[in-house]
Amino acid sequence: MIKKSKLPIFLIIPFVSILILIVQIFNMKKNNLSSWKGGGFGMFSSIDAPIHRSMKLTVLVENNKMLPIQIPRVLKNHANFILVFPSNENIFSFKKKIREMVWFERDGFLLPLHEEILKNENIYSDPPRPVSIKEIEIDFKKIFFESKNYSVEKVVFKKR
Amino acid sequence: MKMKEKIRTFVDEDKNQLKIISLLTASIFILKFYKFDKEIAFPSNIIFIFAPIMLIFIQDSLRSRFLWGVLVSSMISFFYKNWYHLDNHLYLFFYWIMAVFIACFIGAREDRIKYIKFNACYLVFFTMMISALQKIMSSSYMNGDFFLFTFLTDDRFFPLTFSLFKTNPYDLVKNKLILNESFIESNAVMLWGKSALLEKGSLIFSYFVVGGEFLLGLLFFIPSLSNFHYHFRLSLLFSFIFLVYLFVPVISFGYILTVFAYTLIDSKRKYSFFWKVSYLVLFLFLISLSDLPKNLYPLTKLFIYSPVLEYYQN
Repeated sequence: MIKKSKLPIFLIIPFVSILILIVQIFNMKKNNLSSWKGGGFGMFSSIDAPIHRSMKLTVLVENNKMLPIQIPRVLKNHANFILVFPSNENIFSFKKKIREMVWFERDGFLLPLHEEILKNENIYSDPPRPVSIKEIEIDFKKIFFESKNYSVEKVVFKKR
Repeated sequence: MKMKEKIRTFVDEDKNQLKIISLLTASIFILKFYKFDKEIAFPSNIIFIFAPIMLIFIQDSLRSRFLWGVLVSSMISFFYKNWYHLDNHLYLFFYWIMAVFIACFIGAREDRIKYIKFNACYLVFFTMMISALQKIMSSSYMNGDFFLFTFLTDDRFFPLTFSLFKTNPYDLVKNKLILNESFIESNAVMLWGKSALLEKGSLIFSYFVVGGEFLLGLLFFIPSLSNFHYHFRLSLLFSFIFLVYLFVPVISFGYILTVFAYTLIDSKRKYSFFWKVSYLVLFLFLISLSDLPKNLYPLTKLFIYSPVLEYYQN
């Protein structure tokens, strides 16, 4: 039996683990945190693993043109983070980082205007011209498996 | 004294149990982080290797507050930066390291053992029960869809599905290609390998896993009173670790559960030596399944020839 005086020390690990579990379940239900992550022991419980999630970024630029965007390498980690945990705050900070970068249009895509591109400006016949971003839209998709006909579909689970 | 006798005395002696627990825990750090993963920032990557190596050589390592403290604080900073993409076994390991660290502050040896055993028991219960509950709560698990999809697309399960349900390896390859390539362009695809046997098998497997986890959780929730209960839960956990991690390469979970089981072996009960050796052998077996032998192969082949290592190399 555990002595009453020693009870608090015995409760530290159960308290920490249950607290993390509650936070994970809350974020899973409210903020679409993947059930595989966050310390909630939900691995192998659903198809919604981070590798089965994807996102599509589209931006509205000047002249009301909608352009798809390629996630630059510098934002890859942040993109992976919001893919696992697309809470409104995380999406907001991701969009803010996108807005802070300088972009230009090339072949119907919006690309980040890195220093290297600026250095090699003379290789382009049409030199890159920065475009201003009016709005950013992100479609978060996960896969849905239909066991009746073995079909796998990408479904949008969050749109921002 | 012969070598065999020496090993037997070391493993069997009650006072060495804490030393071996500490040794196994330190080994998990080394097994997990020996590759100096780039994702783990300096100085955590150095600490995760060298502090455990030091712990292995310290006689009374479950009293080394400094080294365990350094490990706990490094893990907290590691978790702070990476919590969202870390696997659940690392959370479990973190709770265990915290428990070991707290145990360093408990004076009496008996109380320390009691504390360590309580946490090992709680963590097995917590992991198994919560895993089972998450599966029950999931909309795609209890109808067998999750395992059906996994069996059709995840090659890690192929040895299992091939031996039990005679699945076609080409379907698996096609499905992987479909998900990796065709899926980028289109929004819906069809998977290959439709089979009524696989569907039934997935459903049975789903219930089998949940049932096993639930039973284990329950067995570790009830304090061990009878000999039957004690031996039954140790043998069930042994079978669970052996069978699950033989097929699914999430070996780190297996290491941690093995340490918990080893901690819960009662030296005063019958067959304690048998259980201790069994779990130590299981730990070594899991190491043989990990990628460590593959990475050490060029070194090991200088000394021994092993068909097992050759198999891994291929």
